[in-house]
Amino acid sequence: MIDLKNAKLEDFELIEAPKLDTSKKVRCTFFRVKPGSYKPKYKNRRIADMPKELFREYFQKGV
Amino acid sequence: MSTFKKEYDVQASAVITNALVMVADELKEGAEFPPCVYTENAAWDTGAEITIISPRLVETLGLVTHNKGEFMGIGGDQSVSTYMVHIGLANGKMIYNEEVYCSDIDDYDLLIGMDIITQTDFLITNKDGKTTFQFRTPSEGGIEL
Repeated sequence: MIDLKNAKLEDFELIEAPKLDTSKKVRCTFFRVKPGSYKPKYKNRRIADMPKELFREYFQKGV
Repeated sequence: MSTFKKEYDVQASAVITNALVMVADELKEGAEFPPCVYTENAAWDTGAEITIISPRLVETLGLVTHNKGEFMGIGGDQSVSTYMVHIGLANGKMIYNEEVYCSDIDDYDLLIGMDIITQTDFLITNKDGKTTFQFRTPSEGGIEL
């Protein structure tokens, strides 16, 4: 770890950035709930094992 | 604890997995399952505060609006509907009663946002230019780089 506020160039190891192919379409996402608007509370949410039949049918057909 | 691992042959430009999105009806082992859509286009998106499904999924599943929400995205502010779904993850876990937003998300069917990612341990490595993505639930912590 280095002190970024007081770092000098020689404190860094230089890594060349990858070349971008700007001819291709890129996707960029950033979604925030608008402050003050409705926000889900997830109070009834739970995480549990998926029913086995369902898991076999869609994710592990051979099991 | 249940772990999922996906190894790419290249440096991945996005983390995409499969997933199952289901109408949020009651689920019972052995009983008929509610309508569901299997997709191989679920993107894990740390830039999304919430989880978003595509209008195609809403239409296919015949989902009914649960609430109205607003979010700020790349294209500006949006007022959208929220829906209740179950989301099956590839590690065999299902998130029951997940409230999701609906928006046009290009050719993705599902953006798995930080509301779900923070229920997991989430790891990406890129050794030798090959991306490996892993997640596990429940979180156990203890991963140090």
